[in-house]
Amino acid sequence: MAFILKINKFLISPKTIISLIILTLAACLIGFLVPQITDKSPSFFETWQENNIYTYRFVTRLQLHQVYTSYWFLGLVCLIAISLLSSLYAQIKKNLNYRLKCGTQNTEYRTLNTDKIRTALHKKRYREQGFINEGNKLIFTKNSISRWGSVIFHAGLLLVVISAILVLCFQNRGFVQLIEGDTFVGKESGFIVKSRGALAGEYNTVFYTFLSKLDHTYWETGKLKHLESSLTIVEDKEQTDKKVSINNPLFIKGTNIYQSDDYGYTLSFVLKKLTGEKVVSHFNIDRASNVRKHAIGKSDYPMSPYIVEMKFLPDLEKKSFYLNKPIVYLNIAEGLNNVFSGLVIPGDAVKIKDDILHFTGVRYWSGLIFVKNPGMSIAYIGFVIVIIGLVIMFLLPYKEIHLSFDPVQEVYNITGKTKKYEAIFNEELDEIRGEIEKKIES
Amino acid sequence: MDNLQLLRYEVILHWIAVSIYVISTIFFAYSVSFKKTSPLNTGVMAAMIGLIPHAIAIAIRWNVSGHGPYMSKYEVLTSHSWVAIVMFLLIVWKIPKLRAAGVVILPLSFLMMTIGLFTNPDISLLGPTLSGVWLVIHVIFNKLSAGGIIIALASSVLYLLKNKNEQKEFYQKLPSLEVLDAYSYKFIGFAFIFWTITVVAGSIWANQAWGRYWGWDPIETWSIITWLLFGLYLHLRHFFKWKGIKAAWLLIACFLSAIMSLYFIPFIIDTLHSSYFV
Repeated sequence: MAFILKINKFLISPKTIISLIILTLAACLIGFLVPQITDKSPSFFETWQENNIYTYRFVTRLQLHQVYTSYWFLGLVCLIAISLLSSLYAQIKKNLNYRLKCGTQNTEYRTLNTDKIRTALHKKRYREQGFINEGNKLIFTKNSISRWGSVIFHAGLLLVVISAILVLCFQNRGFVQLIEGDTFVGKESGFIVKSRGALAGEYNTVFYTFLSKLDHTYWETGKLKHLESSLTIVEDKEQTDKKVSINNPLFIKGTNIYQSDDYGYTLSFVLKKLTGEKVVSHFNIDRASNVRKHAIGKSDYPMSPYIVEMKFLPDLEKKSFYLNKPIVYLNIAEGLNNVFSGLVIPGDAVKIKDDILHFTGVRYWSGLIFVKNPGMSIAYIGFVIVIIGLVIMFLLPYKEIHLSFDPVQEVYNITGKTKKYEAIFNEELDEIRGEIEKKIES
Repeated sequence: MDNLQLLRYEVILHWIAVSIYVISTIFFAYSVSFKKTSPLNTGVMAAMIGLIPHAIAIAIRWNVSGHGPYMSKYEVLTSHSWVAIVMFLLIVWKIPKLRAAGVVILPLSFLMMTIGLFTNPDISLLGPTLSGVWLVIHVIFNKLSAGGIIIALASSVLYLLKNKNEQKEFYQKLPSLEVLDAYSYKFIGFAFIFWTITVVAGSIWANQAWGRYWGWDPIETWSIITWLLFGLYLHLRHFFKWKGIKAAWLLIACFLSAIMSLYFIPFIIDTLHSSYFV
């Protein structure tokens, strides 16, 4: 027990709290200065390793290249959470025990009329609490809720930290390129990019997602203006039509579906081999960054020796991103030998050695992100609480005014105390004294 | 009147506002340098006058572009300086003794505007992510926090100046050292609230747009660094009773960090936010 108390004392000591803030600051600075695996390509790290093996080893051993998913950062976050929890417990205990022990007025002063002073202070939103100091000091307080500001703020912060830990542990995320007219059956193996929290299990959605249409509009400059996928969600033989666009995610059965700004074209081919075997293949290529540029793709053709390089224009005539008059320049190689080069439009068939390649059509594909995040609602609640706590802490500072009477000199003494902005409060107190003096004189 | 013509007027009005702010700065600088209080009122008056063409210029651009002033360096810098000056005038109205803070706020503001005027003034079109109430909250509080930090900086600078020249008559007319220190604390408290709301609204917006509320993008990282620095400042004041010179210098460090996240990082490093600041 004594050990736990000691640990608790250590966790809420000012020095520990300041150290934790500084350590988090240092971690963020490291994350900013050292290239992170989430921002750089694997080849960047390979080159780094080749050029400077010792620095690379140092960085990787300390996981400085993956600060925010490193064990030490997770440890730091957990320590912050425990410190917040301990500090909250201590603050709540202190606040609950805090009482202004007020009593009745000392009979000696009962004849004194404090009405004018009381009215003046009430006008300034000070609340009368009663008498202390053997009944000869009247107490007024303002913003009593302020004592709870820090508790509320730190409770909100704790919720945000807990939500971050939940995300690190249990979040599932997957990206899928869904072709118009196709269905994503919701299996984790169908994601082309996926990430899973440290303790998260396999991610399968409990519904099917069918993409019926991709709508995209542009500004005059060619910059994307709006992107929206029309989906049909199929669950237990029930179908619901939904739309998802950038900034307007869908929430279905614990899964959020986001419209990514990645989208492009799916070029479909059928390769008819000499043996009569048909191999169907769909190549997804990203939309070009500029309307004047062509979309580029390169891939192996499945079950064949061919490598297909594509330069695709969706609208040869109007130079737009829409599939008005699509055309593709195909460059097909077998090993190092080029076996076909030429322009092809949908419906065309070309001869490649002894095989026939049929360009059957083009459709859009839409990038959809599926996320299961158990911590998000906790984070949102935390955000709201954090802001409420801050407003109480900094905009509503606790103020206390003490009104006492000196029976010998027959004067009122007005003193006060606050926990924030003391010098400003002293100025306010001077003003109050002046106003009260005027009232008493009048 | 066509849009091109309107935008020409907008640039002219911006330059008029800059000129008036320069005049205002001269009055403030003269007042502080020569320890005279009378030019302070003229400086404040000039700042108020400068706000008019400045506001009209922003309104014209808003009308022509069809979106608020947050899509380019030009728009961000000019709107930040407008908000900072409005906040300064509101504070001066409530606390006239803080007029001398204009010696920091006005030059910073016209400098921001001038830098903005030399950047690409083309109107940027909104991408699909740039919509929704969270964006509006994010942008508004971003501007308010920038203004709050500049004003807190000004109080700290006044504190440091007064601390060196306390005996001089001019500085005796400023609030006492303790009060200046308390104002810095109060304004950083405001800025901390605004900064937190900016970060929170940005997170919710990011979650709506990209499906994650925190991605350690350089801007996000710097905004949390600044937030932690604010936290450090507030904790040091609370636990270790940091006051006066030490607190003033730490506040200046907070200001520099805020400047990094508000202006330098999005403008010089390729981040998710860079595409918004063309």
